[in-house]
Amino acid sequence: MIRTENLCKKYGDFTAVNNINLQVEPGEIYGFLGPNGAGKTSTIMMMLGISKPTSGDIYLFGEKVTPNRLDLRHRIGVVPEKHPVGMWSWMTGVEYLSLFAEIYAVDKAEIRIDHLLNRVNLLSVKNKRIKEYSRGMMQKLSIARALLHDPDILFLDEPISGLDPIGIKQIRDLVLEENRDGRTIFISSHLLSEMEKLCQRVGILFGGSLVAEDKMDVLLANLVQDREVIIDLEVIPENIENTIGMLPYIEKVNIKGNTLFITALKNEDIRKELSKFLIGQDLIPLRIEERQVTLEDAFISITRDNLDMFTSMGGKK
Amino acid sequence: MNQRIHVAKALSKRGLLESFLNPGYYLFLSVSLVLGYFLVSGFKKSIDSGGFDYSLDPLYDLIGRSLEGFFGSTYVDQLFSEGPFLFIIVIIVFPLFLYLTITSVFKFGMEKKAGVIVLLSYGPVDGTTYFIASLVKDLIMVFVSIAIIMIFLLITAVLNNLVVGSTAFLSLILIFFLTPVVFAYGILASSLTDNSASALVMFLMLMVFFLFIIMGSFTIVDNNIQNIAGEFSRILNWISPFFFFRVGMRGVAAGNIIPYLLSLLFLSVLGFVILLASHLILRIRGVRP
Amino acid sequence: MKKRCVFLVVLLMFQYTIFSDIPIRDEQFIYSILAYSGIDYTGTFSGEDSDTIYILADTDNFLSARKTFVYYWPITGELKTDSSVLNQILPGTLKIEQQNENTQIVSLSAYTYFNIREEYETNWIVATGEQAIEAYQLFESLIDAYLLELDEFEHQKNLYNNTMTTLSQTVAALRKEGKDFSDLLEQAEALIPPEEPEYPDYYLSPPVQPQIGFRINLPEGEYFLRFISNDGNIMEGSERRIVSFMSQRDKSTGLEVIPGDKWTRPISSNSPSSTLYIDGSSDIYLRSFHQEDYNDLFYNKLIQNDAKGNPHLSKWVQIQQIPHTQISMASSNDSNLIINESPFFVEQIPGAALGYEIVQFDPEGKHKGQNPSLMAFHVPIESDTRVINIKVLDEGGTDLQGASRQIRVVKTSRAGFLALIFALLPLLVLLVVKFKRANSYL
Repeated sequence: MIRTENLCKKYGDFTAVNNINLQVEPGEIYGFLGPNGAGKTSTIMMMLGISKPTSGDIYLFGEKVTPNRLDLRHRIGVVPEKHPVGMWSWMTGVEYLSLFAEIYAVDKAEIRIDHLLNRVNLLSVKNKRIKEYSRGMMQKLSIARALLHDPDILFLDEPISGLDPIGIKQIRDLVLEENRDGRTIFISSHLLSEMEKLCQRVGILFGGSLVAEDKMDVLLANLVQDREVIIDLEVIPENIENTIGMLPYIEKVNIKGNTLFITALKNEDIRKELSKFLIGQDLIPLRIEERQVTLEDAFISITRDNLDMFTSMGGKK
Repeated sequence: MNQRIHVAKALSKRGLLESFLNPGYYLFLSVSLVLGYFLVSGFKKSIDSGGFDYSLDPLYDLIGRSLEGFFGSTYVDQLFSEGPFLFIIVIIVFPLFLYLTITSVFKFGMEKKAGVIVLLSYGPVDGTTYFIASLVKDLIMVFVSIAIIMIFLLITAVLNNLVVGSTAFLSLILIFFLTPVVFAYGILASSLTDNSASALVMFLMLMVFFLFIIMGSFTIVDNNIQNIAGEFSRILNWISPFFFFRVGMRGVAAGNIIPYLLSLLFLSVLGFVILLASHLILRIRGVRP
Repeated sequence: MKKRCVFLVVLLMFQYTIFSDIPIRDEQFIYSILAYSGIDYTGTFSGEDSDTIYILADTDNFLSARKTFVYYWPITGELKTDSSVLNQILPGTLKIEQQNENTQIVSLSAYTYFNIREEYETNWIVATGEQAIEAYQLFESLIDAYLLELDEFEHQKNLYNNTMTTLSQTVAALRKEGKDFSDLLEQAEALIPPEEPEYPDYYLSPPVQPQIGFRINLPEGEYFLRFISNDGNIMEGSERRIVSFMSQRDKSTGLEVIPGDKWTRPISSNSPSSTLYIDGSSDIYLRSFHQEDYNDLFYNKLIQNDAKGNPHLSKWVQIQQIPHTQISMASSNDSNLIINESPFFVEQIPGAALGYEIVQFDPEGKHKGQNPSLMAFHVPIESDTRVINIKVLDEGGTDLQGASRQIRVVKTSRAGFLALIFALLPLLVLLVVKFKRANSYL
């Protein structure tokens, strides 16, 4: 659906995008992750044909993207992070959508607009001026606009940034619903926790390079080197940290009150072994829990120093 | 191409709706027409048994003396030889079209800065389609304004037994060809700059400069101004829309239609060249804010 | 002390007001110019501040190099010469070049110019050298002859008057004595009064006394001029550009419009596309003119070298009245009418009104022995006249070029106020738009 080949973008001496090769399959939700300034927007702008790559190629639907290929843009919908609301504020929601319906030459535009407004829960406010819309409403209107012409790919740039929890859930549900209908979705974001809930596959961009790209669970498993197990005990015996620390796969033990925080080097689940060991020591664990390492935890460990490690893990430096 | 035309049509339609919902247009139009009414009344008061004599009405006396001081008595004679309408057209068209051009340039710059053009570019719209739509919208506004002004002048003429002479009529056609070039300069300024304030400053400076050249080389008040403007005009006449306007009007005054038609042609060519330059600049600079 | 200061200030101010207007005279090298304007000869000069001399192409013009005083006269805003103290004609030659080619050396010669009476008004003749002197002598001889005839007439008139006086006295005496005086009456009737000689009407403008100058007659173009004094050196500050220009367009017909109640304030209608607006309070009188089209700046500077003008404009200059024309007139309330040119006489309105009235010239009646004030077309303006279309026709009834005009009678009316309502309509539309728009929102 989307494919880039050795994509590069330079602004003078600065390399914004460095040799990116990625592929998004039809029907998947692809998360494009990276901190601010990682080169996400530059990559998306090239994918949309708005800016020209310094080198490399982009293919949408198997066809090469150039700024002149306005026809390809007809098959994509884009939800930008920020909307120029001020410029459209005089229009009502329905006028706003009808403008885009006309631009995209949407058939039976009125029915389609009402259908989409209904889907994003804005039908009741369709005749309100959009200057009266909240940020969440505007974001939903923007998604409705992006879906007007029934695009094959939906690009979402930071779709939940600045939204309240209810707004986030509504957008998340909408995206998942669209994906269930078979639409390919490309989401760019720096909010990793949300991406984790949405994306099937992610690419991590850092310093203009795609440092990792894989399925979410594989990526997490690869990224997570340490495991942390939290154990609550009735009584904390003396020297327990040394006793546990003797185990070969234990790296560190911390005690806070009656709770042990154990960091293990082992990749597998160590809760069973630890439980056996503690019972053997006449200690009864009240709670034994492994803390889930999130994408966010993993992501913050990405630095320039360990780029090589990520590359060796399947990243595309 | 068809897609571009379709999109430009949709955008210009929406732009027109926006313009016609804006109170500013109605206010400026009304102010212009009221100004026209008072200028016609003043002209009537300046007529006695021997004909038009601007000293008979205080308003026209001031206007006549000022114009005569700046451009000479022959200019004033020719300006009023058919009646008041050539002068009135210049006076009432100026504030209205200044409003239209400034709002157009400001809007273009604002939309570029706010990211409207980028938003549209996610779809089947590029910068060129956008400015063509903007230009089409502006031209329709100008056409509608000229039509309203023309109707107003004709009604005023009939009510007062005056006549809208051929020079006034031809000047309106010339103004219709002049304005796209002025708008094109607005688009060029917007393409070259990053925000509406810079675009507006650049556009106004360009227009003031062109006006200085044309009026300076035309003035009789000061030889130095005339010489400086004359030097500039030798170099910059070919890119000044007002120069071709003057050539056209000189053709009309001389009863020679060829310079008039040539000025229409050159204005069209100049407008096209500026739009082409804007198109290339937008392609190079992109439409991102 | 305070009083003294005030006095001093007042004195200084007074002195300033007195001396500020005294023009500063400056001795300069000038070209005195006698230029042909298409209508007649007009005098001006090109001083040190002037770099160009303007003349009409292919016409005779005269320059002379002089030393004189030049001053600025603030009242009229023009430069003037004071030749009462210094007016020295400099001997030498003029060198005229066109782009360093076609060099002409022009020498001083005597010249005169005069306008002879023919059907048209401008029949200027220029004579130089011997011919100038001859032309002037011819004029002098004609004047001398006229004066002799006038003397003879005065002599004969005195004789006639004396004879008539003697006869009438004798008749009176015979009548008193009751004697027959019929012979004397027959004698008196047979006496023929002498005829007054006519002033030689050969000239409209007689020749001027021959002057010394350089005759310049140049084709259209730009030239470079220098004065070479008798010692062979180029006079410093004598360099000038000469612009020799000509009419820019075909000849056209201009009209002079004389309002019946303001004959001293005629206005010109030169542009063929122009419309004449009048208030209809009096009839108008029209005169048709041949007119030529000249560059505004060039022509103004030809008339007065330090004048201002607009180089980007051309203007019509009325050359002379067109003889034997007629006017076809079609007004909104009349069918076509042909008006012929007639003589009119301007009479002063007696009493406190202090105006003028144009009346039909009556050569046999009250205007006997006088000349008409003007030859013009009388266009009557009726109270209900709104539009009059006029065309100037030649003798054969053919339209003259550029000679059609429309006259519109503009009267004060309340109808014009309706235009103000139209002008305010956009505001009404705005209210409607805003109201409709507000209703469309949720």
